[in-house]
Amino acid sequence: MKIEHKNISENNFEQCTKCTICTVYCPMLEANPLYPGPKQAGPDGERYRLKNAAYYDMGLKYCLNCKRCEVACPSGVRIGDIITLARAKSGKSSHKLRDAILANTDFVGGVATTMAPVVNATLGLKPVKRVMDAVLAVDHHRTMPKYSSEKFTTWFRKNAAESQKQYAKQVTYFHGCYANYNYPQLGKDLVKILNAVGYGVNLMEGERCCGVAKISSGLMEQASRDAKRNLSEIRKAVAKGEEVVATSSSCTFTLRDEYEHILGLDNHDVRSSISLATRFLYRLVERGEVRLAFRKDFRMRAAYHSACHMERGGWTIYSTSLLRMIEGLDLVMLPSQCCGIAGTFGFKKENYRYSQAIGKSLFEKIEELGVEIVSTDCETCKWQIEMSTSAKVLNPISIIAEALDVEETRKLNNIQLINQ
Amino acid sequence: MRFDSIIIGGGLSGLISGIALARGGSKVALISAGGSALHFFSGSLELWHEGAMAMVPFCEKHPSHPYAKIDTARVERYTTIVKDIFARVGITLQGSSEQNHLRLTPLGALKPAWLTMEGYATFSLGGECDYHSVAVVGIEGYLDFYPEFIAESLSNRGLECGVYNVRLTTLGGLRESSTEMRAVQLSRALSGKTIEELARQIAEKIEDEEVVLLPAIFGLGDKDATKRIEAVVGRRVLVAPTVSASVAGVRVQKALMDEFQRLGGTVLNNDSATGCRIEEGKVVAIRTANLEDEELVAENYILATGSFFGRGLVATAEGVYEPVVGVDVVAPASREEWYSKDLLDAQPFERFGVATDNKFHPLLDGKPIENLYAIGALLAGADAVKEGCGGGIAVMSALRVVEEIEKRG
Repeated sequence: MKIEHKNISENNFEQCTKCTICTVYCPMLEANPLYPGPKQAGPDGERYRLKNAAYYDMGLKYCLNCKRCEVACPSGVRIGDIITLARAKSGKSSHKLRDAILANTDFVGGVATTMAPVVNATLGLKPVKRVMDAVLAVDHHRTMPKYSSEKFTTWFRKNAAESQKQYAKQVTYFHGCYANYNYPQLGKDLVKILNAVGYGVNLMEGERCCGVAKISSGLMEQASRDAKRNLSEIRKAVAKGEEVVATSSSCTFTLRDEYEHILGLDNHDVRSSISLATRFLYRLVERGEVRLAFRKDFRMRAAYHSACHMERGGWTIYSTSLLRMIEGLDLVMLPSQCCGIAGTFGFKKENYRYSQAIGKSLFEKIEELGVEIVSTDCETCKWQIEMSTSAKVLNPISIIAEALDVEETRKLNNIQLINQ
Repeated sequence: MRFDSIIIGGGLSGLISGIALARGGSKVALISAGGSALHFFSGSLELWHEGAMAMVPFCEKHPSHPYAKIDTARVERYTTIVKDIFARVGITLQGSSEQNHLRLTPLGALKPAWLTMEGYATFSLGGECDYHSVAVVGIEGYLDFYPEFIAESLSNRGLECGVYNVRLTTLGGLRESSTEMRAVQLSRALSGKTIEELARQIAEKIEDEEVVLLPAIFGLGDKDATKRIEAVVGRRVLVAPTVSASVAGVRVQKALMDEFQRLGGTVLNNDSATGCRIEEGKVVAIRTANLEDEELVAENYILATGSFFGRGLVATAEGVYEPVVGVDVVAPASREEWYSKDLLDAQPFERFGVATDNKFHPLLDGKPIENLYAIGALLAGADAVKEGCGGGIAVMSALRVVEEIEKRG
């Protein structure tokens, strides 16, 4: 055994058997000939880059970090990680300001929410979009996600924090930037569900952005700083005996896997306590610890889209199994493929056409099915699908919250509130 | 999570057993860790290099060979089932268990085959076909197909062959990155204008050959590509397998996976079984990498994890082992006995695999585990390369095990 351990490198590129199966499933390779493909960009190129950094290929910037190559690899090579790390080491962006604005979702979100009506109206204006396109290289086809005028955390402090203490069981919620700045309703939906099954919700003190956008823009130092802060807060929650749940698949994936694989931070002590919200809920139901009751009059037809990081994490089964518990929901599965947005990738001007080419067959399938609702656990997939199809996109948690019969659920779970 | 059966492995044997069980109304989960060896599918399945008739005497002499554990009387019925499973996903398999036919390899050799996808060039066992001349056409820049080799091989068998190369200008960006000009990428790019250009160039270049032979690069973009080329060139168009990853493999993998899910099967993609709990000689639960502490529970478990490539078998300096359950493996302890020094010789490691009883129950310390089955390339005793039997064993053992599970109820 000892012999093998010594010949496996950190990112295991030498485990590649050159079978080329990854190249079959790379969405970018199909859309963009300038991208060398996962095999070439990953393990093949790594061999050369180790000898001399000059072998770095600028085409690596096109990698979506969707990890579909890793899902396809029969030999367990972490191809996406190899590419992301090489990019962080040698890649240079020609649009540093733009990348920083897109990547600093928490800082920008914090500023924008305070002036949300102005910001939303301004960012939606055609001349502004043209200026952003020309100056910042944010493609003019995109509308920046709308900012909420009240942050989730502000709402929570004002309306929910106090009442959470009445519940016997507690869980910590990692809301992420999207629920905080863009769509607080998602956080409110989670609180509604968890309260109905007897769980009080806590927030972390000074939660930082998970860092997924900074990692993909190569801003590793900032990402590490935030990650360390988050890990220390997560450790505090775990020490209290609480699990940490997130409603975003990419936040969950970053906290659990990218912190270790890309940022090199040891998170093994808390990794298994970090969970996607649907996984946490499904497991409670399966263990018979909680029961869910749904409204008899609820009717919806929806198609489920498996986001790339959901596939990589293997959590699709939790979200779909949970959704299938809703009697009034007719759920169809969309073919598992990348929608093309890949976080902030699709917002960048130089990537817009590849982004749309990658998602094209998915958009066509959604229109062909004629569904009004698409469900996915990823917020950037939501923006992409809403921009590119006529469907409205909801996180599974929001669908469950809408379908939930709160009174009946509370009764089923025999919720006893603790008097203060 | 609870199921009737859990299949570990998403290759040919796993998918066939999954589809067969789901068809019978079972609640089935399939765990798949990465792309399977199906991606190297040539378009032809092999049953036995010397034909089905020769299997009977062979099995009498070799009772530990996987085929010896399947009554050869079942072969014909199972052949019908496999053809039906493929037909339902829109793939026509030609051939029968009565007699092998010959198919081309990417280098132009002819090898015995059992079932071949419609549209691939095949020959009778004697090497005959119903045409006398072939135009073998390659595509400039595409390096995984060798028209000259194929033409030489076919000329030796008495066919008149012309070799032609076409240069496609409408391929656009694909040409810019020659290392990524592979069968699958080409297949996706070949539609509309590109097919028209290809067909027009073939029609202009070839002489009076009866048949046009092209690399198997059609079907993932425009599904009717070969028919559209036939319409322009006015001749029959056949294809020959390419170096992997193959278009046939990608198509079959996706079609069978979709069919399994359509029948209600649950797929745990990108996950791998990491261990199992055994109580009183039975598997009671398995664990996976993604589900962490959560166990998957079923009545029956099927190991379809493949050989070394699929990581169903792992070789280390200390020996060969089966990583999920840790069942008994047939492999000599001494590494000297693992391989033959001549690359083209029969390689002993090809026969390594899991030891089972006659009903494909793997042995643990010599005792069969009654609700666990092993199928496909994981089984010990066969040399898929030299005996031409990989696909046949995958399919036959899968269907035999499904029959056993359904009989037990």
